[in-house]
Amino acid sequence: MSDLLAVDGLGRRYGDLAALDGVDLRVAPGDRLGLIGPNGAGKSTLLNLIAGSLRPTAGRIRFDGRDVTRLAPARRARLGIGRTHQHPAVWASLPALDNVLVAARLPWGRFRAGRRAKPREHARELLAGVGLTGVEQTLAGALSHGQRRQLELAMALAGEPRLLLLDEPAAGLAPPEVEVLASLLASLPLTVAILLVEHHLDLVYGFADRITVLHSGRHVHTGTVPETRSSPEVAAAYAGVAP
Amino acid sequence: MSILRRLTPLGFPALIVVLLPMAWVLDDYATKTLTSILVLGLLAASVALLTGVAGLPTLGQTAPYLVGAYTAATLVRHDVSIGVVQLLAAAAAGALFSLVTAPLVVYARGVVVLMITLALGELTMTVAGRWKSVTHGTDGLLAFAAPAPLPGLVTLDTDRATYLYVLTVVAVLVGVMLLVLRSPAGALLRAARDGEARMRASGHPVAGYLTVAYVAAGGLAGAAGSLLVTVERYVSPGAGGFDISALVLLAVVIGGATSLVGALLGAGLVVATRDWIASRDWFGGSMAGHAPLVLGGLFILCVYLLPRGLLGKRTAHE
Ligand SMILES: Nc1ncnc2c1ncn2[C@@H]1O[C@H](COP(=O)(O)OP(=O)(O)OP(=O)(O)O)[C@@H](O)[C@H]1O
Ligand SMILES: [Mg+2]
Repeated sequence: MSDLLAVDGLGRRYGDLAALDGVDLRVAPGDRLGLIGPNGAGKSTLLNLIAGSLRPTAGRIRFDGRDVTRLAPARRARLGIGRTHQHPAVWASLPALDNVLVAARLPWGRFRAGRRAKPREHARELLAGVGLTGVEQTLAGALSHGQRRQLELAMALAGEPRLLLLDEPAAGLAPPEVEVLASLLASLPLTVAILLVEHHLDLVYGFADRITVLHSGRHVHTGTVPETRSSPEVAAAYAGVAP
Repeated sequence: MSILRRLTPLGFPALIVVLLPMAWVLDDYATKTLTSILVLGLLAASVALLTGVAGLPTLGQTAPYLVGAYTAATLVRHDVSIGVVQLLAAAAAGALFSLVTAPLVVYARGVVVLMITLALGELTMTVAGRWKSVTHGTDGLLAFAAPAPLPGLVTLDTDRATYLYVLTVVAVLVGVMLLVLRSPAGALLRAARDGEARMRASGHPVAGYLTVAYVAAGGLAGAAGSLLVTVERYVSPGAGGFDISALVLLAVVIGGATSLVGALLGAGLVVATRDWIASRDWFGGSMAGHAPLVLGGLFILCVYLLPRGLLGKRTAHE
């Protein structure tokens, strides 16, 4: 079992609709996996199932050799599964810097010291890394949508995950900010495996080693970037035709 | 209002500095009223901790308040005459009550919390009215002996001494809560209120944090119950009725739900308004029965004119 994440036959139904249907997925430590597919393909559903904020109606999820299918989201986070949301989730009434500090889940003593010293410096670096400078003391609720997306990425990184699930981190960002994001993603250490959901295909193609394509809740393709670019199934999925 | 808000860190010490000399300025009647306001203010602070800071809107803090009051009254009747002992026992009883009922509260959200806590409050009041062997039912418990705050100190047999004792207890308890809320604990509670999903995604046990807040608020309410007995020398089920819950929630909304000091000020405003109206004889008769109506009007005005209350903090999207 060298897989960090092993998803088997995972499914989620809403009444008659199968938002996700029998999907298998493997992520090894340090992997860069892109996850693409048209709107409603089930990408966010898959992320939510892995993170635990949604319960599957079928299938199994193993993380680091351990069955986490029934584990609460907070427990999974503590095991090392970090994430961002498609709709950025931040703590509106806390300053941006405190958002990162709370997300870092520091032991009590270090958090207190963090009011001044090292953790605070680290949090500031994380903010700068995602392209947020000069807003450390701004309440997160006063940030723009794009800034909140950047902030949530810094918060997810602060948890030092071994698997990072990113749901459209480039959505709503301006081209220069996408550049910052691309170089940040490229600079992340291989101690963290990344599952990147993105409609911004250039970003995914530049970042990922392998790409998985979903369509109507089903897995239609997994391959390298060149394979994916030339895959007829992928073209068909994006043309809105069932593969 | 922004000036008021900017002065918030200084507000609490300043408030205490203003209140302290009142013991020598006011007459007995006004002193007694102010003492009662402080007691309800402490209860309101516990409601603000839950409603505004932790995001659990409650109508049920009268439950640990009653539990604390009956605990203190029972101790008085068994000749335990040290105020601090009564206070700690009442706070512990209120906290224990909250620990036991926490599973009912901390997993619910929004209006459901209001309904569950309302039920807990009503249930506690009903038990207080029926469990005659312990509570003497609707007759209530007399607890005549005035306590001494600490062994060796004078007994609280004047209104002024009682006022100073209550003021000291409220100042210490609210002061400690304010310090705790400025620590990381405060950030964790506000984060849990702002975005639970993100808290979970960051690995924080939200229900655990809310349980701690709920138990702490129960301890504060229990302590307020002990002060009630010290002031009134009596407790009956009516001390924790729905009208008190509503009055206190109104005080919290007026004060700005996120602010404990606001809750104290709100309690002052609400109680003063109620008592002042009740003593008028407009429209050719006493207004005593119409206070709820006027308070309701005050509530609506407040929601429209001061949506964040007197001292409420700016939060999301403003
Ligand atoms: N709570 C829900 N109730 C009913 N249907 C839902 C619910 N959530 C998602 N769905 C449906 O499940 C399917 C998959 O949704 P999902 O959000 O996973 O798609 P996605 O690939 O993330 O799409 P997008 O690119 O637009 O974010 C869609 O058809 C969606 O309408
Ligand atoms: Mg999505």
